[in-house]
Amino acid sequence: MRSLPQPPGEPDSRSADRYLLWLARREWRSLLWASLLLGTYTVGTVLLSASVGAALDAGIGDPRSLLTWFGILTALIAVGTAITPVLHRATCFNWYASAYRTVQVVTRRSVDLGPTLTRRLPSGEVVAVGTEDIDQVAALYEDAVFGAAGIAGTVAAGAFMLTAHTDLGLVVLVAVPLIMLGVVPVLRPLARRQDHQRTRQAELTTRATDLVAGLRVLRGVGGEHAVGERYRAESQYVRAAGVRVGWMDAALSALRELYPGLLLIGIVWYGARLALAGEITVGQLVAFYGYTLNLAAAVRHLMYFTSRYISARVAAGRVVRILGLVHDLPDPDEPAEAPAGLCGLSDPAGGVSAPAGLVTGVVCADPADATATADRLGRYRDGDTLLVDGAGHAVHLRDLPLREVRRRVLVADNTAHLFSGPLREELSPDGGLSEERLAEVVHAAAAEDVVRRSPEGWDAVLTERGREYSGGQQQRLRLARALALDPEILVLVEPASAVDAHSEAAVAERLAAERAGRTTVLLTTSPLLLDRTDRVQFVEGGRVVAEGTHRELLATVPRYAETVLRTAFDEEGP
Amino acid sequence: MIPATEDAARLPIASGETVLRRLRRIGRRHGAALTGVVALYGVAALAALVPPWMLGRIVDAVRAGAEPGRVDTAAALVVAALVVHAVFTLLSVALSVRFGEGVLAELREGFVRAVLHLPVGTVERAGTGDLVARAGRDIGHLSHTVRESVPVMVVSGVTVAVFLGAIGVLHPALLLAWVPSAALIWFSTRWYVRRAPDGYLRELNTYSDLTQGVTDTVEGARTLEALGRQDRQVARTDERVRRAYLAERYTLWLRCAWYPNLDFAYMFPVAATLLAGGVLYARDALSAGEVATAVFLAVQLSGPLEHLIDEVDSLMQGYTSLRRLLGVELAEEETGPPAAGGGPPGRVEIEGVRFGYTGAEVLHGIDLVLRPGERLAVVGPSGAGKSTLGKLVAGIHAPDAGTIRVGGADMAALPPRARREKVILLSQESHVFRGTVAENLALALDRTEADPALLWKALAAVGAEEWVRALPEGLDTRVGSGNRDLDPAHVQQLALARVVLADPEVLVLDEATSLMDPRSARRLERSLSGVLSGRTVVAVAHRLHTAHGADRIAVVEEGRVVELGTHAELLARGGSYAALWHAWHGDT
Repeated sequence: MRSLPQPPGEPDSRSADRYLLWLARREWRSLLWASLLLGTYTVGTVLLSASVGAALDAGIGDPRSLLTWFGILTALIAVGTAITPVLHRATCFNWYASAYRTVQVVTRRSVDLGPTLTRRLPSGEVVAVGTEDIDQVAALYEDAVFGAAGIAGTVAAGAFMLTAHTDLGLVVLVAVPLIMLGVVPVLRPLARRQDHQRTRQAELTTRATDLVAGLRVLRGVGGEHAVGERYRAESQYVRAAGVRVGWMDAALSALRELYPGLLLIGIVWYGARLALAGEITVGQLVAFYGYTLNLAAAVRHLMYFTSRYISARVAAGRVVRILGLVHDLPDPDEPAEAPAGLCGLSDPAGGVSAPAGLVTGVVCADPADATATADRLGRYRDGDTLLVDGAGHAVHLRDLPLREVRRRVLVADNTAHLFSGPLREELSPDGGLSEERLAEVVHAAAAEDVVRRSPEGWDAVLTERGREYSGGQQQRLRLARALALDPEILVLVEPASAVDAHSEAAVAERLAAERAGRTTVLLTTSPLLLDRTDRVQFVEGGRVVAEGTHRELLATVPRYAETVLRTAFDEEGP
Repeated sequence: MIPATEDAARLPIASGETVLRRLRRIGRRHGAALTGVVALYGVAALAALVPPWMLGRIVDAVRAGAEPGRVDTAAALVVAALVVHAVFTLLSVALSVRFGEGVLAELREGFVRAVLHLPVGTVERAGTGDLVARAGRDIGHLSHTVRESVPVMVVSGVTVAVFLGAIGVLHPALLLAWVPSAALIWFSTRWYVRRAPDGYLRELNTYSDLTQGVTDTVEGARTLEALGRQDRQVARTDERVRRAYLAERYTLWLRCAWYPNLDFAYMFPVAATLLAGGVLYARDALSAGEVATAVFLAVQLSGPLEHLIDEVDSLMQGYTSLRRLLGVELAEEETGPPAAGGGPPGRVEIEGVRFGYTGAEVLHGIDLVLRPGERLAVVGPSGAGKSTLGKLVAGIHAPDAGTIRVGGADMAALPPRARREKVILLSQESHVFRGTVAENLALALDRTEADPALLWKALAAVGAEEWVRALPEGLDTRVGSGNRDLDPAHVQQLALARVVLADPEVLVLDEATSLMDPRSARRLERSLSGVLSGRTVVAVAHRLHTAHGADRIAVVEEGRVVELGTHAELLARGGSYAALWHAWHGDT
């Protein structure tokens, strides 16, 4: 068995089927091997039926003959037993290989897409790929062998029956699939009801997890009784839906027993008449009974494979939707030469400019302007933003490769994702930062308490989105992460809005020293932070309307003072 | 601040005895239904014996050269038997589903009831992650076990028993063919069951790491690009794949060792039955037809037997989940009698309060008295213990030493409901429940429905009337996860409206507006001060203007109150508050 993961290769994302075919081609050897194994196993079970019949005809009263046939049967069973572990390894490998390959291609495509991914697809759908679709796709390849086994079983049993007695063989070959397919009409409404029940069950689970997620709030303001009642009502509804499905389920079980039973009786009855007429031997009659069981199993395998394929196709469709996307902001055909020295930014659209090497504060009266400005400065949307070096050489961000832009300009806002994993990796992903440097950035972000919070310190593990940390702690962690990266140009959006005044004052004091010799843009309305900037630009109505130091603006621009000091509130006074 | 999760803080897991006790209780209550299911299915399984039996009869008849007419009558009888079989299968499966769904509903409702009665302090300590996993994954596993595995096990178990019985009736010696199989199944399964749970636990962890990694990648794609971590994330994913694969290989090895034993155990009796049957035939103890019957009984027995053993894994998983679900019931809060409080409503007395989470003390002796209707702002650096003080006032944690009395009643001794009538804590963490806006508000009244006029009044009081009216269905608009997203300012307004409806004596605000953009925070605080007139308010503040508007300000540093007084007094003192205030206002 090869070791995994393998390099995934370039997926065919033109359609769900093409993707599934691509996956199958990547693993064709293993798929073929597994199919051969289960095919052999299935033929073995058919041979077992034939042997039982032959043993009866040869006469089981004779000890020699009996021992011979016992030996043959045991040998067949031993071969089957020997195949089992090899087959299991092969089918499991097919699951792993296709699941992991899908994970790999989805990850590779997602990182290439960046912000385009969540902009284009609803996040719920994207997350479902990680949780459900990978399973569904992989299950197809795990169970692909059932397709092969179904065919092998049908062919082997068919061949034996047709050689033994053409008419009886034909009857069985036609009747078995027909009767199995006869169950299909029941399957459809059952699937519909099961679907309905599953939706209700999912809704119930969502309600329970929702209730648990909000438990602290609930225990704080009350409402346990009301919420509990609502859950109970929903739960009873699911119970009732389950009981309704139960009747369908029961009917299906009954039919599943009845159909093959009738089939067997039919075969035995017809075979008995043939045997009485001397057309077939008793052993052949018994063998036919066995073939019928084999054939029913083969048809079941084929039906199972089909249902797997249908689910996998839906899942692959969702995978392909991600794989087929392209980045909203393509790289330029002919990238411009970027200035090599320390640069600043200039955004003609809003009039904001951040000279190289300084800390520039940008105050927006309307928070929407702050978001738009940050997006333009970091090229998250197309604009005319320029990268300007100390000597005044300028180049449009859109004329540079996106990776180059991201390398030089970092926009750190409060929606930035915190990744699960050890705390240290979040700040120093490749272990490149020394303990002293880590301590420095954590100090600059006033985030010492975040590291101290867990006894494991730097080795504490962040769970999903750093949820166990408070809003203020998450914010300072994001700030520390941005500072640790030490980008040439750093655009910070309200980096301390959820932080207490004491820590905010500490951040304000330390930020300028931490960013010395780099370019920094601070989009904020906090007077503590603004007081430590080199200059401040005030944006109203999407344009810079005033510019100066924080104190100059406080003294001369009343709207500015109002925005940063919230004097409106003070009027109501104590 | 939430304390670090330590083992002592974890939610309990029920012992095997507790689970057994509960299962016995269910068994007693639903005993009749359970027996009915087994009996009905037993009848159904008897009918399944008919085809192999008839095969044998016909074999004998053919060998004896019987009339074709006898075969026809036998066939007609058998068809009738099969129909009986189908009807009984129908009834028994339907009954078992009904039973299973009932038990399932009972268990999950019991779990939710227990969750709703968990002490807030326990939830705070354990975090919600574990509970979310129990509410989601464990209920899911249990549902699978009850819906899929238990019926399969009942049906297969009964079938196996009936078939073995039939073989025994044909000739007891035929049962010897099953002895090696029984031993093989018993020992190999025991070997497997002892090793599997640890292996699967490890596998589950690496697998959820892997899927969490995919979720992280797709949700954080923008951040990955911003930080230039694309290549690293790809490498990290490959590493996770490698680890998942290693964990899978262990359980794969276990199964590869277990399965051949099972496979041989299912199939070998076919050969052994032929041998035993042949020997008995030679001694005239069985006819050739009976040998054929015995062989095919063995063939048809292997299926149910396989199903039975296959469910062992799922049964173990269901058992583990049940232990985790029932464990929550062990942590339920006992509600004592409501303590009498005879003081003036709204008066808060904090006396010599000390408190620590696990080990380290956070508050080192706090004394404070708030008169009814007073607004106190608590400021101080992160980790100083401001939020902890707020939680103690709200009765979420009981002080290690000292007392907190609200309106004369000791908070630590009050049952939750009475506690909430006195104090409500509103933090920056808020939650919109799945449901309508009206349902979200009515929680505060602990009702599912409430007079819309009342709700509108509360919404107006917090300045939320306008945007709620603008929603497509007003109060009936569905919000919360999976529904319409509300922006953080609106979420916080809903939380405040709940407080208005609950109308407590004392309100603790723990940085309740800190996640909003400054403009919305300002607007909200303005409407709040109107709503809260007459209420005692403890506001843990990070924005100085909030402190400025308070009657008194307490500066907490390192677990102690270091400055206390009005805004003017503290400015005059020239301490740390004054320094901050000047920095804020840009005067030096």
